[in-house]
Amino acid sequence: MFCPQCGHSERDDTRFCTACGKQLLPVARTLPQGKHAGPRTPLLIGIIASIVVFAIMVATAIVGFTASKSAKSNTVKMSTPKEAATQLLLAMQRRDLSNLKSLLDPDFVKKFNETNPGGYESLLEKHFFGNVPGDAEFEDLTFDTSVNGNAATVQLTGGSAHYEDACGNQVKKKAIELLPPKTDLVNRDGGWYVSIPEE
Amino acid sequence: MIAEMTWWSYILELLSLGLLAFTIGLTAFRAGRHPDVKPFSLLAGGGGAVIASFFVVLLSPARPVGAVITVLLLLGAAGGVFLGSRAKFEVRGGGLKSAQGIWYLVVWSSLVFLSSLLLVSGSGLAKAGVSIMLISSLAVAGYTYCLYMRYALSARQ
Repeated sequence: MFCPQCGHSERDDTRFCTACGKQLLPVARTLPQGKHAGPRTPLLIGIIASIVVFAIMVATAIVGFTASKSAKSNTVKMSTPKEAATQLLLAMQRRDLSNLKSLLDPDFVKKFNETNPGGYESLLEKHFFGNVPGDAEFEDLTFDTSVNGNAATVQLTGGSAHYEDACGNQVKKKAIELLPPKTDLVNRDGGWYVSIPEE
Repeated sequence: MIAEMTWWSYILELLSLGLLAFTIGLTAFRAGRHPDVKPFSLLAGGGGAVIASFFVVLLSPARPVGAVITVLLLLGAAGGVFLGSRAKFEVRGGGLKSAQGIWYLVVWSSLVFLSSLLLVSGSGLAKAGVSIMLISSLAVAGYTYCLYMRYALSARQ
């Protein structure tokens, strides 16, 4: 080719005229193309991203195992039906949801969780705490327990409750007016849990 | 029967289902018109699906047991890699043109939509819904990452 400025003859791949220094080829053509600039870049990015994704996948599996384990250990074994029923009433009195959940039949909780994933806790609160005033105190509670194989029923036979009503007056009632008169229980692996019959 | 839910979680669920349906429509429209795929969108799509599956396992009370989760993740990833290794594509300019385009996103979003419906249906199939979500997410990740790696290897030559 010839230099457009001085007319000097040059080879076709010459970037600058050897006579006048005029640029003969555009810089972009002579510089390495994207592919040549870093042939390993997309591969490297892919490898790094794959490692990250694999790590998240492993973390997901670990979370799955840990969650299954903690779901199993989230229950507290009660050795007698009466102990389970007493703890239930205590959880109701204190409005202690986490303690309440640990007393429930694990099979029921599992099934309930699957069918009501969005409103599990609010339903439990409504069912167990709905009728008990927040500041209620219970005294002299007595129970009658009957066991039939793996099932048991604890009847509330006596006791009183006192609390302050909305107007600030002290109210005294029979415990049975605020608490469930009977609690059904079920034995699972040697522990007694509160059972809720399906409606 | 619809699962018992608080009113705000019900509204949120409806909104997210609506948004998901809109996304499916939009992605299907885009997939029908353009067969090209940006390489980084493959990485982002697969990575997003895996992150979504992590949060589903972390937060959903209807998650299957750990061993089942692991099997679902491995099966999904293996299936995705198998599909990705067989997908036809060609490198064009800075991107790649795949015969399947971004239809994988449409399929994945539709499966996530189905799993969300199962979760809120109250039919006792919530665990199946989570399983569908996990296996489809890992399948998408396997597919996109396999396709990306094939693209990166061919771009290197």
